[in-house]
Amino acid sequence: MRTLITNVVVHTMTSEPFKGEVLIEDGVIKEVGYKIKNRENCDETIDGKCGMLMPGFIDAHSHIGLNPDGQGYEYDDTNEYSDPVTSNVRSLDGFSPSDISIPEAAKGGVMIYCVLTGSANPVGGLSFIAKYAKKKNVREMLIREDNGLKMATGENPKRVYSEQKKMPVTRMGTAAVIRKFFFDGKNYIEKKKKAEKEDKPFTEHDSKLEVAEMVLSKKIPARIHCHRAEDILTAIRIKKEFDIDMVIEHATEYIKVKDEVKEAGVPILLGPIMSSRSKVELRDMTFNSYRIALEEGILFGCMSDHPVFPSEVLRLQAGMACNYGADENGMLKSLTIMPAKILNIDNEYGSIEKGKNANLCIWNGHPFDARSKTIWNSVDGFLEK
Amino acid sequence: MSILIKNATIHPVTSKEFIGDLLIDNAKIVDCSHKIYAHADEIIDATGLYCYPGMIEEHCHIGVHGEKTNQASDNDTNEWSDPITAQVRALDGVKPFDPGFKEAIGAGVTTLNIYPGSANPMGGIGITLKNDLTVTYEKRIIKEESGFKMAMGENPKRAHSENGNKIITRMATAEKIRSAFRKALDYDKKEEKPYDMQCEAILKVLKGELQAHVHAHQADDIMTVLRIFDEFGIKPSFEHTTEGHLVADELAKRDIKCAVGPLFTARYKMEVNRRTLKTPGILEKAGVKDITLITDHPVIPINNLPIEAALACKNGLSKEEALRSITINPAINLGLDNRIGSLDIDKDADIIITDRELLDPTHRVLYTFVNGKIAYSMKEEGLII
Repeated sequence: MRTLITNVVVHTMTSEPFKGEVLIEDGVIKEVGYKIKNRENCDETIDGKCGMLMPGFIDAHSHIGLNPDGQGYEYDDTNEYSDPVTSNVRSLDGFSPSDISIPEAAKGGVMIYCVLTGSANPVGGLSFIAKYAKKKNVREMLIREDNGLKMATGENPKRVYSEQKKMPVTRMGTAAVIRKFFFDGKNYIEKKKKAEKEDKPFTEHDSKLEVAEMVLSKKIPARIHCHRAEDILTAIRIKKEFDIDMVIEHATEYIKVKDEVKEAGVPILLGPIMSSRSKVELRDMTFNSYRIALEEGILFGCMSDHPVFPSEVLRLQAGMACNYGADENGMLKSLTIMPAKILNIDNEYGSIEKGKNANLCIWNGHPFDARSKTIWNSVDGFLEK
Repeated sequence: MSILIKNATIHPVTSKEFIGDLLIDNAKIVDCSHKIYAHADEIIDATGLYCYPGMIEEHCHIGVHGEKTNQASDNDTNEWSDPITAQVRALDGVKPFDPGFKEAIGAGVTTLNIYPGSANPMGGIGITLKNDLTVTYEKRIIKEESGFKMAMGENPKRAHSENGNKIITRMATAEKIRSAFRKALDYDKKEEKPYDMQCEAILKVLKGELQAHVHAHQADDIMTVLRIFDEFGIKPSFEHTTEGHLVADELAKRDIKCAVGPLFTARYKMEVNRRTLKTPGILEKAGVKDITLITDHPVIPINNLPIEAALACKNGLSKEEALRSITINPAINLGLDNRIGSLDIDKDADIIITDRELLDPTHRVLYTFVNGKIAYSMKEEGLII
């Protein structure tokens, strides 16, 4: 299957935009250029009508499908709040591909999402990455399974567990629960090594600590929910203590500790900022976050936390950042190549380059303009409209 | 950067006051004598003014008890989920942007020791911070594990009878402490021991590597602590010591360190019914050494620290000991007297300049120096309430 896209302004995300053409073959970008020479035998030619061709947006922090819109308690599978440590649960097992938000998000250009568990637990669960598919089948959608471990600090674990009279009821307690999880993980690794050394079968398999081992051996990063500056510092302290990879989620007050964030080299996922300051820890939330992250050269993504802020309109949150002085192209990158890097899928997604998967949208106007819409979407070359 | 303070009435605290000069260079006190002839980058004429070491607050909850909003979501003082939370650290609960830090610097308090609260018989580990607001939080830490907070009396009873009937009486508080100590000793004896955060923290106390600071108001609680600690061959330090005057001889005989205060709160609990401003004076006369005064901020605001010393002085504490009780004595209590607490050569340049004597409640702090830098100047910032 060969598809030629003509008459579009190509926003590659790695170079300046230009008026040109893109050739897709079997779901992969074959060629990008001003005028594609090898244009024979195309099964289809798409006229972009002078629109903008962009990579599908990547929403790197979403609960889409975990808490389907308008479905109520029976379908809400975001937070397994039965215990503060639930590293053994997986958002994939709670995901509902029939969430009406999924086609809506695609309409808004969001074609890829990392679906995380909620923030009730200091150690929440495993996340996965999916792409839009017309079939309501998670197997069609899956990009990466178990790609990160969700963790949480700040108000949410405190609120949930003080109601249950369990640790943690303070920030001190949350840090202690997380540190204990990693200490237990280290003990577990030692135990395994010992069994191996003595050539004995290992019979004490622990599904929670298996995940601790994945994080401690840097197979997957900790994805830690932090709003306040002190929570960000605690996360960085834990990262250093246990030498793990980490992504800071929300990072609402990161500006106050931006030097520490830069020094630690942790990427951040900023958002949702286009929502209310519904909690004390959101008090100092500001759209300036995006501009400053661009100025400081911090690797970041603009995220929705869907359904907190609907994924469909993620692009408008990025647009609002421009209202506060953020660079427009920088904000487009924060929806594409930068979250792709954070999710470690930038070899396949996030930009329009030869060899990458053809996860693309044609827009009839700038996506930051509320009136614009996608006129054509493609998931790995599979035509959607 | 060198600063020469000229012609001040200098109170080194460890020796008699005199009129003279003080030279700061590279964050340290390099000279302090009657006349200094030296080049300095900045000269401050302090004729008619007074010069003291920066005050040290040995017991406060600045930052862990978030005053920014005074909401439960910001209060991280007590991890009341269990009576024994030896593994939690104030380090992970401090909000470095809390307004209390600025208030302290305006009052001339340059070092802060922050403890978890008193809900738990074993509450967690404290932290000592240099109150230098120009550097990042982690750089302010001068003692990461400054003391092991324990508590007796009404607070553990109240907290844990509400939370699942884990403690109803003083008898149970004593029992919880004894069995926690025994459990840690058993852990230590095990041949193979997977790392246990809680036991490791308690073991440090039993091995004398970490000083236990025990919240005790009533004389009977003080005696219970001495009884338990005798059993395990260790020595406590006391916090509050409200009825210390009733057992002053015992405390003196055993050379126990006592932190007294806050001395002017309402008698809002039974256990503070016999609170009196005479306690520090009585302890001094009985021969208790290194008496420390504390505000327990925010129980009483931290700028009351010198006023507390003045009132203790009015009620029988010698003037020398009153000054020592907010400077060198807390430094000794924290094991930091080699660095801070007096105006001696080679100590950290944490200095305050006042317009009247520190024990005169009408004094104003004109300058606060932390690590040789001007951290507060009344001329520029006005009074901080």
